[in-house]
Amino acid sequence: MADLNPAYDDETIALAKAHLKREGSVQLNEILSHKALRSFQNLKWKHSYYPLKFSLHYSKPPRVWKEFQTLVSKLIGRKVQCGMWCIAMLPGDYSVLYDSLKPGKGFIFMFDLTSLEESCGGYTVFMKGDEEVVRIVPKSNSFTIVNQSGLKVFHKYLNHRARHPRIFLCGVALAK
Amino acid sequence: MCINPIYLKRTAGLKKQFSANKPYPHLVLGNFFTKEIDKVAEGLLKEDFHEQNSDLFQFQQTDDCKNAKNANLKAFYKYFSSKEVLNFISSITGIKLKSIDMSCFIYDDTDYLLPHDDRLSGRKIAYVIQLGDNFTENDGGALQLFKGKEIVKSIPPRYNTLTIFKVSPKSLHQVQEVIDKRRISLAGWFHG
Repeated sequence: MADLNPAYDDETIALAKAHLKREGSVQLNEILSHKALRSFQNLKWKHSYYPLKFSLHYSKPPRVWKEFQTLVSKLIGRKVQCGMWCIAMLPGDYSVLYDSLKPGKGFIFMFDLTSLEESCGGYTVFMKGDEEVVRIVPKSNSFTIVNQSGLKVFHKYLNHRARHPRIFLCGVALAK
Repeated sequence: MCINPIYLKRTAGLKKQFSANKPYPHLVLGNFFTKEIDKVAEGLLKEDFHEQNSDLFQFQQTDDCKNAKNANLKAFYKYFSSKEVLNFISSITGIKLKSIDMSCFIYDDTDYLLPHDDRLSGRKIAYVIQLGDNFTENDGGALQLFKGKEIVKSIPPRYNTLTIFKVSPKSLHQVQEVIDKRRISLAGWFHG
């Protein structure tokens, strides 16, 4: 895992794994090396808009996605199959808990490239029924993994106070 | 309190206009109430507003105005839910209406309401009465009507304007994010 911050050695990953098992989520800060972060430049975005569901911009993930697959596998303690994509939220973008949205399965992980104040929106919320259980406020170079079994997720509307988009890699991991 | 007499004389024309308007039946009626509406606009700000924040919206809202504390607002609720008004709106929309609900709303900077269609049992006609400052295009806060994925009509807030539209699977609409302004309105539904 050459692109990962070397501070995340086996011992630290083991602690994170235990935290994930206990709490259902864990966040790792300063996760990628500066060199790896550059692979997120020049992504090509496509706007996907379904008014009743979401407005988001998507791109193919850069090559570091393999590093994340390995990291997720270590954190879960099993081999995993991952689907990944990059998402940009521009002011006005959102996703909602639409009627046919089903609760998640497996683990969802997010790698944020940008930081945003919570008052700008753009954060990710996991709900169990009517109760909010996890909130991911975008923090640059942070990796968050959540056991999303039985949870529904939405991305809060990003308002005009945001000075830049939220850009993050998002993936879903299912144990093989 | 009264509807502007100009409108009371034009029900046939308004009915035609309501049905013909695209993307779905609606009407925007400016200068809708007589002068007494100013007291309602003042009074509603004395009500208790609750923050509403979810995946779909962010704004402040009162409880149903049926139980308003302010006498002017309570009197307005009584008038707006009277047979006189119900019959007037019924005659324009061609839908038999029996009752209303009503809340006061404040949208401040960054507040919004994302696309939805309002469908819920009994709701026949949605309405909004704007009771704050007039907005320009740059202020956001417009009620926007969709045809499919496209916004085909934007209705910026203008004081003393009543907007009504027919609730149906087509009635997709949103309130655009407010930019550095305060949008004040009374809104709810006429029920069948």
